[in-house]
Amino acid sequence: MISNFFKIRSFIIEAAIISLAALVLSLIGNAVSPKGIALFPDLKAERELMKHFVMLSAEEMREAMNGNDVIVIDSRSKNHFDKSHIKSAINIPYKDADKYYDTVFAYIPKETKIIIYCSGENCSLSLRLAKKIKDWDFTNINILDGGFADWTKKKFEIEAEGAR
Amino acid sequence: MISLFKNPKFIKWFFFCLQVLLGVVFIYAGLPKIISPEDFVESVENYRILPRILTHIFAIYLPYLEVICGAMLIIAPRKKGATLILLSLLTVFILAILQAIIRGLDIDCGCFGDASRSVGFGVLLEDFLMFITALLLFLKEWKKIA
Repeated sequence: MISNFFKIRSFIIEAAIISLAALVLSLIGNAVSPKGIALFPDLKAERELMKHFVMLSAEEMREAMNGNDVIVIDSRSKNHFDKSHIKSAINIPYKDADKYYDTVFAYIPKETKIIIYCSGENCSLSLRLAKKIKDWDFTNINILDGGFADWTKKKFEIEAEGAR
Repeated sequence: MISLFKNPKFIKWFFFCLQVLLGVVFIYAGLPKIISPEDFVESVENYRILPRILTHIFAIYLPYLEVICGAMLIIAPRKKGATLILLSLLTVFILAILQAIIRGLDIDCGCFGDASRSVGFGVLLEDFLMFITALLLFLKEWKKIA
């Protein structure tokens, strides 16, 4: 019993040292990496940013899609888009967005209604892509509140790539 | 087959192979996340377990822990701590995947950085096999100091 206690203690001490070393290294690595990120997301700045965009419920988005000149953008990865996406959406994965400026966004009038979605209510891809598109001077940017998860839960129209 | 496991030389090689295998998998899993932490943050957020405020620090820390433990499994003379951490990490991964499946989340598993695969039973099985491997290595370390 006592020997077991000493055994587990030696495991835990070693694990704690490794964990601490990993923490220090990760903080240094993140600080020096050109792709390093903030230690904590700036939630206040995000809330501030949200004021520039309109949050739509799935129902509101569906109604908006009946109008003309609406572009629906799926900001998730190609893999997920191909599997299933909101009907008539185009796929612009956030990390490749810059590549689409010359081929897509340069040809769209700045006041076009753009609706962006990602996987669910907690995903931040929509917001990040919305910020990028806002920086390209688009003025009517909307985000689907609840994302694709809410849309499918309500059994609204979806399609898979190649089904169009 | 059983007699093979009575051969100490075979057992030694068997565990050596397991160590290298699991070590390489964890290094391979951690490196892409270190290279592009922003993508990994997205994967962490998708699981909807951690509050948003903690997702960045977790996404910065976890890949380093994976790579360091993976490397220690291969090259370090002492492996007790690394096996305990890997065992704990795999337990957390399995629980995270299970809760995603139960909640019906169709998300990238974020397992190997960019290679996007959906969370599902395939990923769960993979993690379970790694868990068994880590458990064997842990028990080996445990017996060593008996």
